[in-house]
Amino acid sequence: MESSARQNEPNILDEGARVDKARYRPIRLIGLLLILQVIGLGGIGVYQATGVDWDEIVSIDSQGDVSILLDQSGSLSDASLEQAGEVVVFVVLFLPPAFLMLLAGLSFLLLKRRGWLLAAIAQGLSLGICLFFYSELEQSFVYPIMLYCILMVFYLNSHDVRVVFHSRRDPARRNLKARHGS
Amino acid sequence: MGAELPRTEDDGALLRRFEPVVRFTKGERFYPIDVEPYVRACSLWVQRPGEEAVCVVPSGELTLERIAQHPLDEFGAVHYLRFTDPRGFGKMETRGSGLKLFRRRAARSLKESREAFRTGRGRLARVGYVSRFMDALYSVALLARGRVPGEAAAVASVAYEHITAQREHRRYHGRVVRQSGWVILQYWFFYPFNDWRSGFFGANDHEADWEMIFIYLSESETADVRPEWVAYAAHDYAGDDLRRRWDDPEVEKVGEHPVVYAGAGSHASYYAPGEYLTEVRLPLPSLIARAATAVRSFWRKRMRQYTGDDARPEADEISSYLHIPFVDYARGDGLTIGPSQDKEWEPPRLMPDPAPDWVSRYRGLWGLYTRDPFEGEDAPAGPMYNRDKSVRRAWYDPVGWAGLDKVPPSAETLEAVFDQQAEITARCAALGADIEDKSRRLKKLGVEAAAMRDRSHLDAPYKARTKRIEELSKEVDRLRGQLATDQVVLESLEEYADRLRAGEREPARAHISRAHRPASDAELRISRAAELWAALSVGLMLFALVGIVALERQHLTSILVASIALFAFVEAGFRRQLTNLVSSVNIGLAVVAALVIIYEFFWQLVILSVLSVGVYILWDNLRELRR
Repeated sequence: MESSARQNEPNILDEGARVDKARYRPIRLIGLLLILQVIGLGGIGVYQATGVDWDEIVSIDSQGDVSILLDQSGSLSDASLEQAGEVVVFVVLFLPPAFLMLLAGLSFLLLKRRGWLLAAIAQGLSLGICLFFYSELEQSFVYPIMLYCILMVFYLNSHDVRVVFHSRRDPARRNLKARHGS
Repeated sequence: MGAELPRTEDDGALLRRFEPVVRFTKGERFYPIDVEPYVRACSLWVQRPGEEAVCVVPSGELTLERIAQHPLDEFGAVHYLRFTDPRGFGKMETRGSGLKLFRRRAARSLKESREAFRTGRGRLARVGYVSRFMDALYSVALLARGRVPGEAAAVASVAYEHITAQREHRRYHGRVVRQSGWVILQYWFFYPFNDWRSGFFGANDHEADWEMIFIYLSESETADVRPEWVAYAAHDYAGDDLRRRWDDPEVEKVGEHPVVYAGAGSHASYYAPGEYLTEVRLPLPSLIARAATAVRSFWRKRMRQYTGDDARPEADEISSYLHIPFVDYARGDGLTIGPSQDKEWEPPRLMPDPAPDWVSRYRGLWGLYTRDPFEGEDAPAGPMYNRDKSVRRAWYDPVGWAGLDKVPPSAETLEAVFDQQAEITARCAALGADIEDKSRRLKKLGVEAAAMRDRSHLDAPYKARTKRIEELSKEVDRLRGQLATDQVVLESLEEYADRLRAGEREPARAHISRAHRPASDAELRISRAAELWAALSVGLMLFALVGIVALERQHLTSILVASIALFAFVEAGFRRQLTNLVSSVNIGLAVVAALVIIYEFFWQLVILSVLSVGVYILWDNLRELRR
């Protein structure tokens, strides 16, 4: 059943040659933009991670065991802890939306319409996380992410993009309606 | 006592030939009856401004002749009939203790109705929070505003039984009108009570209910008639969406008799059986409505953002933010009245022109006046009048009421096309002559101006000529544009005439922009959980709000946001509107984020904008130089 359902999942370019392919260029574009966003998020994450002196925090011995280095008072230095903590929070929070973006991006590139909701949820989550970072941690890296997300939200919600998904929501029903003239 | 016989036999016969078949819903308690026994059972009252209502004629003494004799009264006075006065009920009883018997019969009638009728899937589950909240307010407001008393439906039911027990009859009131080439058969149904609210969870109850359907016939030269359109009245709707062409598949017929599905309690008329979501719309203050329309228009047109169904007018969407949903059950699974049906119509009571006195001279309400500011619980006036005593459009302009004023009868269509062609051809000829004349004058003025150029002593007349040339040139341009348009219209008319000659007709439903449709199977498949959620959500939300404010003030904002998000998410899930919810939340977050960026980088953004404009101008100018 599952496989047949998958087979029936409409590909946007189904119904073949009659469909104007140019109309679906924005979909591929969004796919690329989403992949780019994932790469950008990854880049920011890596940049953040490289800013932390991990040698000061973590040591790996010859047997491969990981241990956390503590100072003389038996605790981590505040700066190191803060930096490492922020990186961990960044990764933990942005990992789910990045994963959704990746899925949505690939979905758009394959012209599957289910990507829209994933992309929208991913943008919403990213914006929410950015606003959280802005209000709680005052991190400067959130601004470019915010800006990118804002543009993506408006583009995803633009009429030209939304109409592609809505117009193909239920081809059978549309055909039926057309036949009955209502 | 009996109905007036048809004044002209033809009109009466026409009415009977096409009289409708009305299918009711199980549980319906009131059916169309003659006005005469109803009036006899009523008392006549007058409510003068700032005074107590006074009984003018007690029940049992009122007749159709007497109702027409009520005197003119001061401004603001309201005359009304009263059908459900329990005090008068004893007079109708001939044996036993009146009140006890009445109670027993009322309870039995109510029980029978409730057993027969089962509600459909919850109306509240089909609409959003705002509507549910408005519904709650509407119900609460019923306690404060005037309304028909709770026992009224039961009293009316017993009084109705009393009337029909004396002589069981089903009767409509007929009128035949000739207007704009149409012969209009008007079928007016009078119900003694509308128990939509108390019997079927609807918007209102009121004594007396006038409903109607019209059939539009075209008459041939041999005086043969052919039905072309029908219009069923439903909840004060009017215009194109109301009428259907006779050959429209939606118009069900038994022989030559159109079938009407009457709403349970409301008695509104529908073409197809089903459950109709009807909205009572509460208008937004005009300033807010205009602002909301402007914002929505900017969002849709300038920002090119998606806002759902593009076909709906913006003003309509804005007003729809404040509506209260009610379901009108027109299932057609109950009694059917009509030719060869469960019950047959008795000969109609005719309302020939000039209208009988009881129609034209009694301008009061046909039932209890509750002083409801929304008027939903006040009884209607008669077939000829609105509640405010103005004449009903359906009475004086039945053609315009159904939007047929622009549609000629099919036998006259070709003639109308030829008339229009002749008119436009004549106009084109006149325009051509006018253009020729003005062009000639324009040329002469042009020559004159050319001769006057560079003559300093003719400076002032030259300027006057130039101005005149400019004006005349514009005029000629406008006339040529009009001529060109007229010629294109003429071509269209010619093609249309060809199509008509070939027997081609317009699509039957081309005139309908928003048809009133029963709920689809998908809508009716709303789960029990969704219904339960719809019933509980508004109350729970209010409890949660109070709880949060009382117990968690230190985290008020975050818990409030989380609660609203939870409610919204569950709601969107039930109503399959997750996409819309995500979209709305995203837009909200994007706007907040944009404001944050503007706040943090205001001057940088200003500089960046100016630089961008500068770069664009440079690029554009240099590109021009390169060419």
